[in-house]
Amino acid sequence: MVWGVLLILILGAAPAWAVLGEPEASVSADRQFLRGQIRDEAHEGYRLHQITYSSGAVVREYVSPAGKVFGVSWQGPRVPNMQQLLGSYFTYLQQYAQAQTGRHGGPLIIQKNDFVFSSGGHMRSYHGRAYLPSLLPTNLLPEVVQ
Amino acid sequence: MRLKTASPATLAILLVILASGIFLSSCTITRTGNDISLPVITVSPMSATVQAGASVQFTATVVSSISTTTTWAVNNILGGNSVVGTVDSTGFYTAPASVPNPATVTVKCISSAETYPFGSALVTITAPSVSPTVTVSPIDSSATAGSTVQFTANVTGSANTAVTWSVNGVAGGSSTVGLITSAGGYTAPASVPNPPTVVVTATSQADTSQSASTTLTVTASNTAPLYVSFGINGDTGVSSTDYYNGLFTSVTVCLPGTAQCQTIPDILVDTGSVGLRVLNSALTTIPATELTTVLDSHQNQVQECVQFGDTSYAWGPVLVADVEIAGEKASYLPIQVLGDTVFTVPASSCLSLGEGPNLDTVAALGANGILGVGTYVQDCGLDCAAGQTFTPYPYYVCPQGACQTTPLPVGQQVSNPVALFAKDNNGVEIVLPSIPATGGPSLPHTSADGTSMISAGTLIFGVGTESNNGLGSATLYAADANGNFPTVGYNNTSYTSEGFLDTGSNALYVLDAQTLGIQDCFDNPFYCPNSPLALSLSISGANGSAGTVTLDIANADTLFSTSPGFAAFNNLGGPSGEGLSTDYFDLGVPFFFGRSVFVGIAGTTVPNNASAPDGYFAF
Repeated sequence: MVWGVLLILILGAAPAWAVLGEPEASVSADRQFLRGQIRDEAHEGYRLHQITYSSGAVVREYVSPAGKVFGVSWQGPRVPNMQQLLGSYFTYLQQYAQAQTGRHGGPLIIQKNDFVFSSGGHMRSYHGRAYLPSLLPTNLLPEVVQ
Repeated sequence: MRLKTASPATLAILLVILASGIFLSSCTITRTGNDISLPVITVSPMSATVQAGASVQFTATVVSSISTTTTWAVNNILGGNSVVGTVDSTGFYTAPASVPNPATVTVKCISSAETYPFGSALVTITAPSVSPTVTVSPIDSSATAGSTVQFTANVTGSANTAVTWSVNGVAGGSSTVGLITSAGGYTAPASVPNPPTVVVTATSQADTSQSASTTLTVTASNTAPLYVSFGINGDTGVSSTDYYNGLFTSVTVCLPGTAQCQTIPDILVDTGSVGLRVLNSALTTIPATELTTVLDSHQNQVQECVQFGDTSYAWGPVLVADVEIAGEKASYLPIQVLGDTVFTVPASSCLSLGEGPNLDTVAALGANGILGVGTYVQDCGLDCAAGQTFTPYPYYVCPQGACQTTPLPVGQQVSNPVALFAKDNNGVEIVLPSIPATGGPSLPHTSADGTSMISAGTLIFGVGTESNNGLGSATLYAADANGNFPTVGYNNTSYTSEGFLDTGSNALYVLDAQTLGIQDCFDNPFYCPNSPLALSLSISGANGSAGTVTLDIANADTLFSTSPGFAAFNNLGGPSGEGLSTDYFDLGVPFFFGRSVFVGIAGTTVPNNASAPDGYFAF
């Protein structure tokens, strides 16, 4: 569903770490985590920033036409820094993750009206995504956050 | 008359002559008129034979015209002693506990009159005819081939406690069934005998008709027992918090290069992670502070922030230990100790990795540690070695208490113990028995009447390295570069995201309820289908192999309510994510019941010349 793909390849230093729920401009400048390739794509109904690291890890950030980051996803050998990625929604993760019981070793799933999160995988191969239903563009399904 | 000895004949005559003055007493003296001759004392019975430790009552007859007192003695020792036996003031003689040398003693009743006349009896002490009782320990033990076990025999009822040891009726044993020394030191045979269970017997040397036996089962040196249970925290009685399908074994941690070791039970066996991680609180006789530290080039002690897929994490130092499991040993293995004593507060960036539970307590982990035996050699690999870029490193140093990430050479990274074994180091085989669809109480489980209902599982080291770990007819599925099946198919859809076999997961975490056409449970995180779902999955390997497995997912509420107190379920499932974009297959312990599953380590020689550079699963 790539529409009129605007593909920009930026190596290294460009600021690109956006934060869930905040304006696209609120990009983190933590250069420690910006050693990868950053690719910006324009899709129908949203923009995607994709950061690919030399390890193969990928972090994707989904930005609405209104300029808000409504979703993030990740895949790779390490779980990314959730505090940086989720911003103020990190407290939601703190709150709900501690409450999950009974599942051992399996994925973590949080499904709330205002915060949806899942994280799973095994050592050296992790994946997950988070999105904010309230910021999801009306013409998009949550499945775009992959 | 003065008698120095009392022969039966003499006494008989005396009895006739002095009949009018006879007094029977326990050496009590009575005056007999005006005769001033010295007392004449006879002891009855004149002789006796008693067993060691047994007793006999003697009676003295004193014929005397004067008043006198008497005392009793054994071998001229007043009252006797523990060697020759004792006699009390009434003539009650108790033989010593063991036969003296010589075995015959003299019991005397001695008068206090002039020249101390006495009467005596001979007592011959014999070994007790009561059989000695023999017991042996340990009872019904097991030992890996080639290992040693110290047996102890306890013999009661005989002064001679020596025993003769035998194995399967052969004194001293044999190389086939194992050798045993005169001191009970048993050495298991180099290979498992047929049958694998031998009988060890201790026979009393004092009485060879008396013996005690126990069994010992010889297991292969590459085989460790597995247990399925609620884990170290036990059955909480609350289905939403119970730890179902926990798979555990024991691991021995030793100070490197020494025989100072501690065996730690309740270690989670995890094919979804790599490396041994042990709770600091579980290291009691081998404290973490005595293990060898791993230092960076600035002599800072290396710490690790280990993370798991559910965002749980644990913080603690990387330390070097010798690790033994069954008959295998990994020397100088980097392990992680969870819960540090030096830097008790994790680096802030470790806390930021996720806010699932910190797994550095028994309460949070549900185990004493994690034995990661997945497809990798190290928990991070080249990505964490110097010169690579990575986000973020799991390894830290904390100079002046300020923690920062650090690269770490692969040889110092927390590593798969199996890969560092001297042999059988190319992977593991996990064998779990079949269990009913209604679950199993635990593994192994013995019913109340003593009949074993469900046997234990086994963790076998090596693939194709011994007679007990060949692939056989198993299909080998090579892992992709991320340690996953390249594709897992369900209902004509092929999913490429992630599929793997994970004994560290306690359920079949598969897709989502809507895709499967079933329901989530309301009060626990599992699936609750109206009727059991037969889940057919087509699995592919990176080597081109393909196969189909059928798994069952039952209603978790029904399982828990109809089988309360049961820990093992082969049909417990749950969602692997939220919503329709969930396309992951984390196949946990239920997958392993009734199967033999091989997990091959990346970079090892692969049986059957299959191509699996990134490791493999086979079943």
